[in-house]
Amino acid sequence: MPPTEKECRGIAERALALAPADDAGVSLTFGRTSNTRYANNEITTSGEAESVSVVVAVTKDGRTGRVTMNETTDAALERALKRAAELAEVLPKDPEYVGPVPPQKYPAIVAWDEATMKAAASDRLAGVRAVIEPAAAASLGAFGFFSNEATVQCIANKAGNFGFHRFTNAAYSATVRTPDGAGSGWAEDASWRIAEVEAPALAARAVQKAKDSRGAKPVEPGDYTVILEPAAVAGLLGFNLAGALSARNAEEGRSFFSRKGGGTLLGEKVFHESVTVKSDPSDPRRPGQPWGGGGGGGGGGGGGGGTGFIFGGFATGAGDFGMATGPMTWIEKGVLKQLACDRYWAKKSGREHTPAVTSVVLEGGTESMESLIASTDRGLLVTNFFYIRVVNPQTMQLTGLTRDGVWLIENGKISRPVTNLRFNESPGVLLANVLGMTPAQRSGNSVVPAIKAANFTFSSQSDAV
Amino acid sequence: MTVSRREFLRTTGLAAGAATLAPLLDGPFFSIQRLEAAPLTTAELEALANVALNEARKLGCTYADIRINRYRNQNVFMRTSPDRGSTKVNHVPGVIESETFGFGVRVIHSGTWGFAASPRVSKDEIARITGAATGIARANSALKHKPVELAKVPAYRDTYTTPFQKDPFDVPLADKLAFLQAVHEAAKQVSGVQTVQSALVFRTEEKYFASTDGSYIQQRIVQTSPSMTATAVDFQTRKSKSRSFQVHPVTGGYEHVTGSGMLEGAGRVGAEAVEHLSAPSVEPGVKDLVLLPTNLALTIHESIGHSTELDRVLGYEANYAGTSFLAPPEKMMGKFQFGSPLVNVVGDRTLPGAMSTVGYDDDGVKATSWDIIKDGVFQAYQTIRDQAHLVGENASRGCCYADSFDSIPFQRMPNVWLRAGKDGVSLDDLIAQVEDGILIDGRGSWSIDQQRYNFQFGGDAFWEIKGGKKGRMLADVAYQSRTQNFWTACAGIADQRFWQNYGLTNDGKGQPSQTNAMSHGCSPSLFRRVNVLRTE
Repeated sequence: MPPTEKECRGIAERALALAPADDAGVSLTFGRTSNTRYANNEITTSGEAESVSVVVAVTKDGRTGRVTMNETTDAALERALKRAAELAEVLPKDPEYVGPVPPQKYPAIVAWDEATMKAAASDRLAGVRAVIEPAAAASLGAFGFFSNEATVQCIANKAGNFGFHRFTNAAYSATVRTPDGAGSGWAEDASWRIAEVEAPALAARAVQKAKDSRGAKPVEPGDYTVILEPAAVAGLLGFNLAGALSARNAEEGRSFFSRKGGGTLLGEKVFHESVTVKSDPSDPRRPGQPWGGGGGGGGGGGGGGGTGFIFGGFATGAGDFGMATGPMTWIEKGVLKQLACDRYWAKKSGREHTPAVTSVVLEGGTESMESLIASTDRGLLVTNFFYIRVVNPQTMQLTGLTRDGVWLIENGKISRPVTNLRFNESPGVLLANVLGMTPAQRSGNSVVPAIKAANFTFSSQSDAV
Repeated sequence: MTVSRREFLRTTGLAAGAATLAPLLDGPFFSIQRLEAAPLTTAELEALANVALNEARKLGCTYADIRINRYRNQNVFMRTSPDRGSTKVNHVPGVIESETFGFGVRVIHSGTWGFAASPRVSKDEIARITGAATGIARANSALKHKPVELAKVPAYRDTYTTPFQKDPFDVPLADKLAFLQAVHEAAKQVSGVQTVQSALVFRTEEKYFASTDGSYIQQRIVQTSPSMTATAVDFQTRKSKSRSFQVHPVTGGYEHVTGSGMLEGAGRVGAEAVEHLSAPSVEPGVKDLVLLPTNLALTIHESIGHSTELDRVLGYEANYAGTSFLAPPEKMMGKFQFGSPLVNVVGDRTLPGAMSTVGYDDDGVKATSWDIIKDGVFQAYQTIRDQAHLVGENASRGCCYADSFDSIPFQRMPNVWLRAGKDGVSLDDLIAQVEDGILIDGRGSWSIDQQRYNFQFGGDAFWEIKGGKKGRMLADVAYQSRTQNFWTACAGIADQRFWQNYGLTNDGKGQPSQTNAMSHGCSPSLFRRVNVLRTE
């Protein structure tokens, strides 16, 4: 059973009392995870595990030593703190150290569900059956992963900051394939409440896509109008948008938002006017983290699991781990409004610190999938992308492949399934070429709409199904 | 697993840094000595293990194993970047030391697998967790079609340790930081280099395995992985280009850091980052490629390593990493023409210094090696104990691995390496055969489809080959091909003198996702008429 706030506070206070320096911090993470995986309509692996992670940091004269372990006894804490102090003595001074995180006021985030924390293999069986049985009834094969997890996090430092946060998450994804391997469909659902994961609906989507994708024939690679379902949009935006929004990356000339010749594109129109990108840790569709910072050019994301501490001293903005997150608007109606600025970069450039990018929300539009399709003379409908990799960090150009269902749209109607394609395209181009969007919804760990956009570049064909 | 870094990266979705840091840092991190997880004696480990095995027998399990493992990592980093608004340069150091210790129990009950794990290593907790694993197996057996069948394995009482000269965890941290700082200063000597990043990553897995088949196996695996990257930026054109020193991660000790040539090569790497910045973009088209081992290793990994994993062929990864074109097994084994007759590929967990080399796998199977591809024809898949019978074999190929005590062991890629070509073929001989082509060094962006047909690979540095001679540097190169076409186009492989064992440290597979390390040794090789793109 994960510890309470009081228990966490007790461990943190013990650690800080044992710390051999005035500048010290501790990050605690306790987790429980339980999962079921199946293939060919049969469970393959299933397990559960509890985990503990303790990160202690000791800073002496701008030199920070950090140690991670998975024990919480006094003896373990003492040894870890002693070792962290030894590391601090040996390390050179970190020229970017900006002092401990001052006391923060963290946003209230509701994301804890006891049932999700406790769910076991037997509780997930109904959800497994809900996909396997209709697939088998249709002579199809189901392959899926259903997991639930609970995480308790606590951070504290000697400067008086204390934070406690706990959250649960349940996620289910399933692939349904035809026995001849000629058709494949995929669907997912996720919520911090396992009761909200709708396995029958997910099954229906995956089964339908598997059936409808049979008999796919290729189309020539090239530029297409595309309708990307939310999972495909989340895949593209998940790659480097947050990193590009780092003020430091932009000013150092390494970001999509860097201006040629120096400076940034702040205040300029960078995307189509329908595009607004926000982050809000309290968004109920995808609750985020109350603190962030700690890595990756000021983007940092959720900062979960003490990771910011772990990356301290290496990633830019690492010293910000523990700074409160909050609602931010990064891009409004296509104009770059804000860049994420860590404390070091803020101090150097005489600006305010900006909360890290967390729980990114791409606000959608008012179209439906049906209306996006009906208004398309010729285009491709894409379920999802696979193996996305950055080809050019500056232009944000990515490559990857379509997966689990692509259809040709002709004259406002889906005309036939097509085989998979490799794309070489930038989400920057996608967001500049928007033709319409559905309302945003949670997909994986993002909140994004389906997007219809012009001139999306596919570079080659793939035989994969 | 909820708190692991890989999980963090997965669950935070749009986390910045995930993309940039993942290749360097993925995997769990450990290493403080002698906390409460003080080394246990072999007798103490055996007594703890027997609690699980006896409890499992009592509960009616037909098989059980326990892994009591400790993982230590030390990651030492340096980042050198210009101070904002001044001409100063900052060397920003970082060290991560961490350790995890715990156990995982796997059982078969009612013909079904169950698994549970805990970081609290005590007899009571081991008994409780064995019960939990059994409960999972019992519950899930309601959906069983066929009972799990394990290939036979002898009972072993044995120990294995990675051979090394100098334990990296015994080398003072100050020496490591001084080494990196010297590397950075050498790279920064080059005008135009803006940032330098480097890392020394050390990992030790201390593993104790016991099973109801009678094995008690203790192993210590030591991995060492140094790396450095220099980046040059042109603010006028808003371009930046990086160049990395291509080091081979190994199972081995600190001698691999000092002997890596990274310090001696830092200036060259810096100069090539700057040269890369002004290098012309490639003219796209169909060209011959000469791929150095630093680049070809990843191509072997993605196109041969993954397509020959039996779990993918069977569909176990259909919802995540994908399946394989190399199916069905009965039509492929000993029949499928994977590549030209020059292509000979080995699956191997015994190769000295390679990242996946062990004494025994996480099924308790003794490390082995076999032909995956012989004279261009596919021979046999990577397997574990519960898969061997599915391809008509009676022994596992020893490819079982879990990346943590609390991860479920499953089929992972061993070292998959390409045999060198016949004697007397040099790198220059390969280049001399190319009229219009590109020489590619190092790892760039990579992507391949879920059945391992269509791939696209970049590189870290590219040189034009014209009229049989290496010429100027090029930029913005990627090559696309189809696995069988690519390997069929293999027209030359340099001999053993040029063979290098390049390794990878962060291969992801499975749900929940696990990481794995392995090596893909090869010699420089020539491929005819491959489609080259411009990625600018």
